[in-house]
Amino acid sequence: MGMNPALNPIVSPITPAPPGSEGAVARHPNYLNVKHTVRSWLLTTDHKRIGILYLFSITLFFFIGGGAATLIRLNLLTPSGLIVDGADYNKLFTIHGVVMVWFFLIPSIPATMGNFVIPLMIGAKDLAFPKINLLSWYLFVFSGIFAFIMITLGGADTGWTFYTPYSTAFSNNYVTLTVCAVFINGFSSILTGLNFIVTVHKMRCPGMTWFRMPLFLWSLYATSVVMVLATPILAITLLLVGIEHIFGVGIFDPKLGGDPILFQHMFWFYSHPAVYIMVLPGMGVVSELVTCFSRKRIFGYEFIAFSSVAIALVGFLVWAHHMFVAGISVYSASVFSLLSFIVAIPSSVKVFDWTATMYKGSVKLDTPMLCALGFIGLFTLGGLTGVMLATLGMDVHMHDTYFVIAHFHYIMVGGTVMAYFGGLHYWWPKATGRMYSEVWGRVTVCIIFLGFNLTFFPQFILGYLGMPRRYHSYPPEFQVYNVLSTAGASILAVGYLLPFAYLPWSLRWGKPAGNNPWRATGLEWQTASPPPEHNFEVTPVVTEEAYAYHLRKAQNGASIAVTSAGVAPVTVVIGPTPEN
Amino acid sequence: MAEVKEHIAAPRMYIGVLIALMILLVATIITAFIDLDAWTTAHHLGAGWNTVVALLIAMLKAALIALFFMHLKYASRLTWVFASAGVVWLGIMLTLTMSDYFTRNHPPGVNAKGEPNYIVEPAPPGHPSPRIDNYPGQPGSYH
Amino acid sequence: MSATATNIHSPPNSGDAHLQHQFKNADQQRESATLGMWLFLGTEVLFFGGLFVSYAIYRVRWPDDFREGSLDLKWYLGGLNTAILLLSSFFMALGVRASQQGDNRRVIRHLLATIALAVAFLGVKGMEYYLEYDEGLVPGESFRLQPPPRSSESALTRGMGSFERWTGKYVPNADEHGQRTRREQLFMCFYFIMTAIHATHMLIGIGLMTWLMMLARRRAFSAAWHNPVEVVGLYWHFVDTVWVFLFPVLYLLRNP
Repeated sequence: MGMNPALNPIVSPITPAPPGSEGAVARHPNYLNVKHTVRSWLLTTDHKRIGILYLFSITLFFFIGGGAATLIRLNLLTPSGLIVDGADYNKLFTIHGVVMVWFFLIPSIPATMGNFVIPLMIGAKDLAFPKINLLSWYLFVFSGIFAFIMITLGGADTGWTFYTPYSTAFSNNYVTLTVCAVFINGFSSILTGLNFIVTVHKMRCPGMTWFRMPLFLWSLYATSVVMVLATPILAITLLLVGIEHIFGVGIFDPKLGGDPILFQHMFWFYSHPAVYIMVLPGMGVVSELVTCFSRKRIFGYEFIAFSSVAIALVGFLVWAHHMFVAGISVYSASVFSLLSFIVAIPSSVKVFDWTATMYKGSVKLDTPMLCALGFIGLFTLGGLTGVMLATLGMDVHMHDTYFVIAHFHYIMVGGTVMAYFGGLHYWWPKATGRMYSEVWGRVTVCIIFLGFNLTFFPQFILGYLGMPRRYHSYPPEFQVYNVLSTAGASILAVGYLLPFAYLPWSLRWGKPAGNNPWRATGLEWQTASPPPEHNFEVTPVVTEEAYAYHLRKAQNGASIAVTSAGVAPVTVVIGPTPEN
Repeated sequence: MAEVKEHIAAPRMYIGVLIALMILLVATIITAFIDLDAWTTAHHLGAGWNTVVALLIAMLKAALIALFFMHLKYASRLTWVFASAGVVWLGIMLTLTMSDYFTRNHPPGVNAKGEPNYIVEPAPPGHPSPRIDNYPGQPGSYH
Repeated sequence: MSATATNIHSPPNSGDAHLQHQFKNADQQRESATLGMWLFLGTEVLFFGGLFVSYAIYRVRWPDDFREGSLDLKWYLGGLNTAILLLSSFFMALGVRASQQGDNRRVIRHLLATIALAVAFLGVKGMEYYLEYDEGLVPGESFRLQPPPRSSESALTRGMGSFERWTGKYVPNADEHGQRTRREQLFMCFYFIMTAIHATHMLIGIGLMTWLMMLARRRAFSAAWHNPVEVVGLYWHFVDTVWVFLFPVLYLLRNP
């Protein structure tokens, strides 16, 4: 055994913390307590610490974007607009959109949980490029500073979509700053995606074949492909908008032969796939949660894996369904409409697989599972209304109404944010070594679910009745639904604020979690909680499929690796890494 | 993990590639000054061949650089996939965007010249005549 | 049992101080670096590709205006720059080869040649920009629809209008109608943006090569570890490839 004790000061991952011993979690050397200085955090290349850094930064932006949403909902309480005028309202929804899309949703699951668990899940010590990972975070922060300046100076009013010619020729506020913020943010996203792809290809531990990978990794891989291949187009598009806005040259100006619709093509070539950047990681999280809390092997592993890839690929072929009424060719529009239907297939494959996984499973309604169930329901609703909107003839009527707003909030908030909270609760014990309050967790998820539906379901009706989006006032007959929606938003706000209380509370007073509180499969549960600085003391070797819950129904220990090698889904081999 | 020996090419190969690139550079300049369409249209081969030839030469040059200077020839299959992904995605973008631009001026019932495919009855005096010539994307009305 | 910090997770005899902790061995590290760079170049293909696609759309839409614009560019300077850049790529390839053999002195020599050629390219480019500014080709307020009338010109010297400008004798440049179209600005927009972004990439490349030379001066590269040279080499060849497309697309639209 080539083990030098001096090199292994870390508690062995197969030695579970003594159950119930208060403070045992904090004692072993881990990524949190190995160094304490601010410098050690700001210059860290540890993927786990970078994940935590992202967690803090995107939480900040979540509340900025949420603040803007609060003001929007407050304003729409009365038909004439309660607090702001049209110009300020435009800025509010622009800030809400820009911040939520680029500073929360896109980095949300990949940059926090992805960063944290990818190397753990594949049995690596870190991502392939740890320094680039840190650079990604700094680019994110840098772009965030631009966004801050933009907001404090007064914001832009173009909407998050920057449509030309308004953004280039007419808007006279901080378009350039906003464009800069999003442009730099794009680099952060590209580098994260690049890092993930190379890591998944090159850093997997012995025995971790593609079809033994947890489905979260498949979905993050697909997400990264989209990040890497779509974001550059956004960068160049925004660069052109910025240049035209500053210099007044006519790239999208019809006077000089430019075509504003070309901007929309380029913008949506990124921004539609970006929708899948936001939702695919959520689907990955749900795949993990459903199988773990049903104590059952996932149904249709390959189908879920390939449907992630299919969503990523087909997602690139449908962008012009955002432009049906913009003046594009009707022939082209029909093709795009048809292609848009196709995305529904891999998405529904996933939903069926999740449901089939729960069938006859021993479903346990812990907080993460509640989130997963919320995701499945809300995502299905959002997805089905998406099929309605992809229908060419219907979209002509629904376009730019609250129906669209409700549709994508069901996907983005009901889907992604739900999954984000699910993942946060699921991996919280791993990241912190403590259990949060299960009661408060369940209460919170129920509040979020109720508040969400009350906020956004009335918007389906509003849109169906014809209320257009992006107006600060509306005819009085729409007020009932708007009041309902605002009431729902305040409930939702309570739901989003509650984790702020009980999650930090758990850091000090939570039960020590042990290595594997959920009795889950997967390498991340094999190591200590919180994980040691380099994740695993020895490189693990995988000998089983990802979700072998069917093989270990009877077990109920805190750690699974102590069982005999034939039964455990994962065998940790001590000693030098076998060459593969 | 098996030891992968790196391929070290002979300098002769690099010189050969450089010469080929320079020849292609001269070729692309020369063909640009020849009106290929004059010949091709006379022989019913369509127009736009100068562009096609220029792009083909550029692709050949790019292929030489990628294969030999960038060692793609000796690289793994995965590298080939990574190297071609960007190009394939660009193809997707170009094709689907062009699908709009090439058909945008042909709304239903209108031919490529913007004339109606059906006969529009002249409106009786005093009534606005039915117009289809201000369809968005119609030449003349769009810009 | 005499395990040291590096060789627990790396095979014996690779003994490489440059092996980062997350990798098992030097091969894994090199393959990851190369793959990462290829993937990054994929994003660059799309970054430039967005420009090429929009250029293509406008070019199909306004063929005559774009041709007029192209005729106002100096094809011979573009051609010269292409030759310079191809040559620089050649030296870069030799530099990578030298690094594969662990010959730091030759790495420095070849990188110096590459940088010199890159600077020459940027010099020619700057001169071109100046000539175009002088001829009122910069889009926007300063764009001149009415250039000074041209003197006698054959089809071949077309576009050579200001060649003698450097010698002090002004021979103005203009198109056949003596009048530029407003839409020609669209072409010039693309010309300036595409070449400027390309030049920015070259500046970054020059910076990276300078860094490599500093490493090579410290004899950092060996046959076992030369990933930075290889990766920067890939980047430089890519920048070259972009120009290979920019040249015919922008400069050689005489017979579209």
